[in-house]
Amino acid sequence: MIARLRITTCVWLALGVLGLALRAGAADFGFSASATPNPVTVSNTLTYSFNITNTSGGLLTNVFLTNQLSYIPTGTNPPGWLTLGSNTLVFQITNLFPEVFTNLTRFGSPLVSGIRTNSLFWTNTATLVVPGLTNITTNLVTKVLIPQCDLQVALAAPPGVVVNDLIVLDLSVTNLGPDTAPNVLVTNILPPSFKFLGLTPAGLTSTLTNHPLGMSLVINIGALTNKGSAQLHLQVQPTNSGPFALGANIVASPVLDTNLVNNVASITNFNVSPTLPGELQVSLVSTQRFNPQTGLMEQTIRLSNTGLAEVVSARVLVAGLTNWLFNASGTNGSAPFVVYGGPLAIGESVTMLLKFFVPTRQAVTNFTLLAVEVPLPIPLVPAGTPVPITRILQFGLGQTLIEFPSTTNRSYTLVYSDNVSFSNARPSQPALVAPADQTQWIDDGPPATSTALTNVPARFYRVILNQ
Amino acid sequence: MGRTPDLLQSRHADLSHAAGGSGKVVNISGSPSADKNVQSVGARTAESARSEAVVRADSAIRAPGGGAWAASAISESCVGTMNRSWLVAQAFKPARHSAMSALQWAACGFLSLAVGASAQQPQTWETLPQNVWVDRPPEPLNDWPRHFRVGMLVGFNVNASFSMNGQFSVSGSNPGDAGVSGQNHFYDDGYVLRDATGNALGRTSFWGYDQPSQYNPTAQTLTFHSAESFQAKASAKVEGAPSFGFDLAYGGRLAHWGAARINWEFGFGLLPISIKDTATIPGTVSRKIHTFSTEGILLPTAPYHGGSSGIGPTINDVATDVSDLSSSVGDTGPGTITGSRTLDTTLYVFRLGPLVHWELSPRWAVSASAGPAVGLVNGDLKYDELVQAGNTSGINTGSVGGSDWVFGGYVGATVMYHAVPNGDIYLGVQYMPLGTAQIGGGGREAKLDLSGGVYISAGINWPF
Repeated sequence: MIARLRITTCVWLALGVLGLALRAGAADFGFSASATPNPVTVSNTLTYSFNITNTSGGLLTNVFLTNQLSYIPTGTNPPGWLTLGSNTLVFQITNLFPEVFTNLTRFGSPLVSGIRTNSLFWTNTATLVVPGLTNITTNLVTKVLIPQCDLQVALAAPPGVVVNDLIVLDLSVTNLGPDTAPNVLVTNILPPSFKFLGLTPAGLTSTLTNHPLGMSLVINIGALTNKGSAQLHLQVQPTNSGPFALGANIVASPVLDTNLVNNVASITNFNVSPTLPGELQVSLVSTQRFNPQTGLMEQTIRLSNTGLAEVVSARVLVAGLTNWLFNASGTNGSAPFVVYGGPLAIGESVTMLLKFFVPTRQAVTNFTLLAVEVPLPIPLVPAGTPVPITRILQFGLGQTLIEFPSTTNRSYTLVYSDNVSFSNARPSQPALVAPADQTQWIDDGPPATSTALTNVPARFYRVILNQ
Repeated sequence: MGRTPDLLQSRHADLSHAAGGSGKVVNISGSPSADKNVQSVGARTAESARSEAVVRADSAIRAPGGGAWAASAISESCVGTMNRSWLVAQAFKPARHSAMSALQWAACGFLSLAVGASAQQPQTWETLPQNVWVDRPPEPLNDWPRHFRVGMLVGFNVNASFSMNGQFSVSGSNPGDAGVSGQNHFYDDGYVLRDATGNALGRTSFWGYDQPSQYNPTAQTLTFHSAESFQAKASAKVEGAPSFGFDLAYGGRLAHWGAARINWEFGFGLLPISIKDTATIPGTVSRKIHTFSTEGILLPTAPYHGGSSGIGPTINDVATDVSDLSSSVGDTGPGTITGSRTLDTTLYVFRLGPLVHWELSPRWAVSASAGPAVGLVNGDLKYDELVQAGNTSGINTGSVGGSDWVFGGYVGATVMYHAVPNGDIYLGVQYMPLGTAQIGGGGREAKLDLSGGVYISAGINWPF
């Protein structure tokens, strides 16, 4: 009986020892990890939580928790965490008692920069290393929310540019949404022979950097709201002739833009012409006189082709002027000019009317005229809103007065054609800014229109409120 | 004797139960409540009963040899042993009134001695009496020596009469001088101003006109008009719309009989009153008429409003005064004055008088009052007019300020609802004839007729 009792006791003891051994050898601890919030918005804090439960009943020593991040964490390490390499963090638990161990830590905020074309995910491979036991690994994947935008840029340059013209490059940037684009930067690439003269609207921050192949002008627009747009105008001066490539691109940081096609705009063959060799002569026909109808000083000049070849088109530059050449089509260097936009045969002459705004309304003579042949400009009819014409009146010698309701200080373009369908419509030169709520415009031939009214059988007009 | 103040206070509470009849005794020890035994001593008001009881209590305390134990009996020995209210009421009755009084005094004395003896021992939780009666605060007694109330005030039947008689200048008239270049000219039907060139060559682009009829193509002139003055004699009476302000009143009690009280009351009311006269007034309008030469230009179609840039059609900037030469309209002719004249005032009214108050029920009361009143009317007579002559109109705006005292009296009635202790809601009506206040000057006058003013007020009343 006693022996039987001893055997039974031994069996029970053996089983107990075996049980303890098995218990120590099994993974008697729990491990869980989580990342919140998920998804996490850019610049918000991402928090990882780890729960380790020692259910072995005994003490576990030198337990390591490693975190392999897919990104480089920002800021200082949370207490107890050590960095291995650039993106691995380790936490050592020297003594893990039979209890629940919780660690809550923040490995920085997603600081995403630049433009991305696909979604961004952050991963954290967390591994629990217990000596003598199999490692437990869990993979935490967090989606990083980035503003989604479709940024668009368009670039436009004027036609018929001649070397040293002061021209304006129009940049139109748009955020097609759906989110607001932060930190929008527009970069404009200019050829090295171009001079950058200015940017409107004023007040935008821009940085001009010279490169061997040109200049890059980076303009900071700031935030661009959903469906928001901005119009930028760059005043530049090409100082050499030739075909040039102009380019612009738009980026924002950080944004998710899955359509990068419209983030770039370019003009691959922007032609800057030299002046042509035609021989021209310009002379004053009349004295300068005040026109009460326009409030301007007017003077008639004659432009003649004195060369041995046809002149395709001509400019008359007014140099030395300290007043305003009101009907100038542009400026070359420092001289405003008017354009005769048609061919001039050998020996042919054309009269043109120069209009000056002189505050004293007194005749001024402190200018010189210079005529040059230029390539035939092909001015484009601008887009805009049609405005009804309320009055057409022929008066004087070959003059027609057009009157239309207007908004003071808005820009309008008169479009004319020799047919009612406006199949060959051309814009008058230049566009005019309305001085009153009823604006009168007078077609008195070149340079406003290509030919004098007396030389055409009919002329039709439209008024466009420019965008 | 050193406990007398406490005891006296205790008696006050007890007596308020006995007299007011609205107090409650709550048994917190599980003993049967004595609520049903707490009775009012009669129809006296709570205040009078309390005063009487206090006097008696004081007498009892001062009674040689008996006050102290009697007071102790009131404060302590009656606790939980018998109907305390009954005991208190009976204890303070003069002993000579009844043979029972002696027994009652004796009973009280006995109880007082018993409790007094126990009071010599330290009181611990275990030794506290088993039955403890705790008094709730008494219900509102609807009795108060003073009151203050504030509320909204609505004034009715306040009228105004407006009158004007004489020659009046038009404030917006600024036609400038004729025959001078570079001047600014403002007209009722256009303008001719200095442009950015300073009217170089005597021409300006900064001009505008409203009507095609202003242009004389034969003479190539534009005619402009400016109403400078007008004569008018008119009067109108306008009934005012209800005006909204606020009302304050403070009063105190002078005497009382049962549920009725005689109070005095001082009241203040503030009432903004705005009454507008929009009648069209016929008058004789004098206008300045200027012409400007438009020679040399094709006139833009009317209406045209040029800018100051100096660019655009320009006209000669020198005005020619044709006021005396105009035969078609003339510089003086019939016209109308439209727009409005507004008497914009504030009435500050003070009143003082007796007030009779009746407590109709525990919740409702009414009062009536009457007395003299005095008011101060302060404000402006404003005018915003268009002086029309022909097809032009000039703007005439301005104001005349002033103040005036008005005197009268008032009668009023108020109904009150005792919503909460020391808080009533009241609705009152007053008839307060105050006479007429007059504000004006320069040929314009407005009279604010307060002789039939009826005022309704509603708000909150605090008796205290």
